[in-house]
Amino acid sequence: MTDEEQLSHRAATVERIQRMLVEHLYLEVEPRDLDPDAPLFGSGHGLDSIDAVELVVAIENQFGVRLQESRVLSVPYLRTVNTLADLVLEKAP
Amino acid sequence: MRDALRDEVAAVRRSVVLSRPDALAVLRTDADDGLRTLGPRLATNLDLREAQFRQALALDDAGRPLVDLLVGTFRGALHVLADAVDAATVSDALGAGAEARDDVAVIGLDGPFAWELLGAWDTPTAIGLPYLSAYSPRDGTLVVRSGRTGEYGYLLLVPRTEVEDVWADLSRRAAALDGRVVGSEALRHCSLENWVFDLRRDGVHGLDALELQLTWRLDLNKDAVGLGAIRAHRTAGLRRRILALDADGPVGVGDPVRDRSGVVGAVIAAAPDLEGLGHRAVAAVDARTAHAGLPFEVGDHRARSRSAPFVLNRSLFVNPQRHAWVTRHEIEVPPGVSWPDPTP
Repeated sequence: MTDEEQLSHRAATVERIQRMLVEHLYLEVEPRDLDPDAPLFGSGHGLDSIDAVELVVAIENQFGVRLQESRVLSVPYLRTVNTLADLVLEKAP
Repeated sequence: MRDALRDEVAAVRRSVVLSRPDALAVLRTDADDGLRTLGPRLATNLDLREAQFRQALALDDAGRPLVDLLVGTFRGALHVLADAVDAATVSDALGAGAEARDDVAVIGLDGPFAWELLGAWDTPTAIGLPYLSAYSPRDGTLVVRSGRTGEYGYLLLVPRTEVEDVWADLSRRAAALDGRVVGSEALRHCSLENWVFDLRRDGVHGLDALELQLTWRLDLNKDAVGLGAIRAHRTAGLRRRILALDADGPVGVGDPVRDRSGVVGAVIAAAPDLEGLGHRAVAAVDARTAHAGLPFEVGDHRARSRSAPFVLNRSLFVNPQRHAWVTRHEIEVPPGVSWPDPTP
């Protein structure tokens, strides 16, 4: 994959994740207002532990990525839109 | 010098550290008056519950951060903790009749076991304090859970008449947790690693709140100063955005960032490689190319963009209800992550 293709693939994945978060977690923002590196939980976009469960299910359904086996292995990915994109790009079938 | 900084940063990531924040203005005013005055001036939603704090921003006319604040209500008062400016500047900028708190001094506690130190100093129930909440352990003292390092963090607002006794007590108790005192350089390093906005570092390059990825701190439906410019920028399309980069050599503020098309931006903040994991840079680059996982050149060095933050905080894996400093090695962390112990 060329750098340009990689860039375009990454940008498209980030946009899909932003849309997924807004639609599945009923966030009252537009997808583009989810800063890619802002924290999803706590202060940032204010998600909580219930949202985390919804998020894991949504990622699995939308991208076919399983995250439920280990919390410890999931935590590094469940931080920002960009870390979710890392997950999808690394693990999606 | 580098070794001293590395040791202090390792302590923040490993146990608990004490500090005296050197650039934190503390103000207080009546809650109703304060919210009425500050509400229209701040670009952040200020619907606060009792004892709840929020990270707020005041912007200039162009949407650039002017003041970075923690704002919260507690027992009828509005408390304002402003980073990197003095109280007079805050009052001037916000037009608020808030009183500067010369009667209190601030002690910072940070680290994956900061909660354990707080619980030992006060009562074990203190460890359950939710993020961005406050409580008063004793008359005149306010504890706010916040933090800029990504680890558990608390700010203790203590009467000046008591602060030296409290500091001595905390220091004594911290020793049992291998805690130590750290300076502001270590905390600033950790805040960069944790991708936390720093007004002095990030707010001096002419970037607005969208470009700084601070949209989450804005209420775009408000009519506060600077939000008109933000809405216009948003409608026109984002021009630039900050991006995290790992470089294979030292980089500095102002270094040009290039991709195959040429110069696409410049470094606005940099941190040295303390652990052999790469030199860290935050760069403002063309929004089109501001994505993780791509090759760049920064100055004379090769670099790769990445997802922020730069660190995997130990606090993510520490549960105050189940864990403790003495059993830290039993805490499960991902492969490749270890619990750093002091250099022998």
